[in-house]
Amino acid sequence: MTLFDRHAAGADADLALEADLQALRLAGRPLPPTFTAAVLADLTPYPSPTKGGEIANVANGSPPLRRRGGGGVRSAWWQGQVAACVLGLLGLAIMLGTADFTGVLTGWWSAADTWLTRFAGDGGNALDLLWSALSAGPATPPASLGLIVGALILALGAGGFLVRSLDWQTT
Amino acid sequence: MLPTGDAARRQADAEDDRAVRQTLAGDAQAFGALVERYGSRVIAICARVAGDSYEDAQDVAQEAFLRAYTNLGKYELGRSFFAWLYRIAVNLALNRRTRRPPPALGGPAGALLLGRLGDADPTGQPAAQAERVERGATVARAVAALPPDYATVVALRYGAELDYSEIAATLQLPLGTVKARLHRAKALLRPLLADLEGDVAR
Repeated sequence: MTLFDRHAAGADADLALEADLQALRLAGRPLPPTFTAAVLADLTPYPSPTKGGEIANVANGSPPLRRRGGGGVRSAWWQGQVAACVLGLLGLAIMLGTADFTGVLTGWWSAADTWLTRFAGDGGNALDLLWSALSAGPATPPASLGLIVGALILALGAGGFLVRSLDWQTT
Repeated sequence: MLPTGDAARRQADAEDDRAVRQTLAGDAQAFGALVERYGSRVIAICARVAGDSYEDAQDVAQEAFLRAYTNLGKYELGRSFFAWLYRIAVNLALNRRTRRPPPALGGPAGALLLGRLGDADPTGQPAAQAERVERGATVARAVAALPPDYATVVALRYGAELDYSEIAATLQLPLGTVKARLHRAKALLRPLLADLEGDVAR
């Protein structure tokens, strides 16, 4: 058998396979007359969104749908916001509850007090003095663990709150 | 009549989205329009992917529409509704196929299967119809023996008569992957069909 013969035989086989596969066609059939009615009979119409916002579902005991933009989502959104606030407040409480934060605040307060005293006298280098006092921090560096953990939790809570707020605005 | 061409497709997508909105607003009849539009193809997908008879496939298709209705709130307007719906049907049919692998050919069970899978067009002539039944059954058996990924592509292309882009949208695959799978499926089908034809002849 020559190369041409083999090629021709392959093309014939392709055509035969293509013809065979046409036997699978089902989509052209008309839809059975009772099909649509049978589907619709199983459905319960969607009610309009209620004040609470939940779209009750409908299809045979399924749990209620929660649609984006509906009140169900609104309720979930508020819960998320409250959780973010609680997280932020927890972080703040941790920061305040540790001596690290109060140590830093005390250092800043005394620096500000010094600056105000100097500023009342001569305003010349007062800003430089304030900047160096703030950037130097307290005389002994704090252990900072409570400060860092608290700040991280606070940032997570505040970030979550902010992102969810922005997301809500855009949807 | 299902749309062909990009412009027609976009218009059909817009109409589908309108029907979805109406359905979600409480108009169940609007969903009926979607059933009318896509019912035939959904049944075809269920039949050819799962290897079911046309009658059994109607039950699976009905379940697919019910599932689509139940999850209609999750459908993102602006996407293609048809692809979303077909994907639900494909997944249901694949589940069904997994639960019930096709029986082996040969003997009374094979003959029964041929009759079950043939699904002749009731409008056809008796002789031609019988031939088509036999041929369709053999091919359906061969497709049912393919790995699910290949069987799905063949079922969508030939059973449901979707074009390549519709298959790609339904399966969320690149167009090239769809073509490659179809090519590979045909290569696998040739020997399968030859074997099945030999079995039927015996």
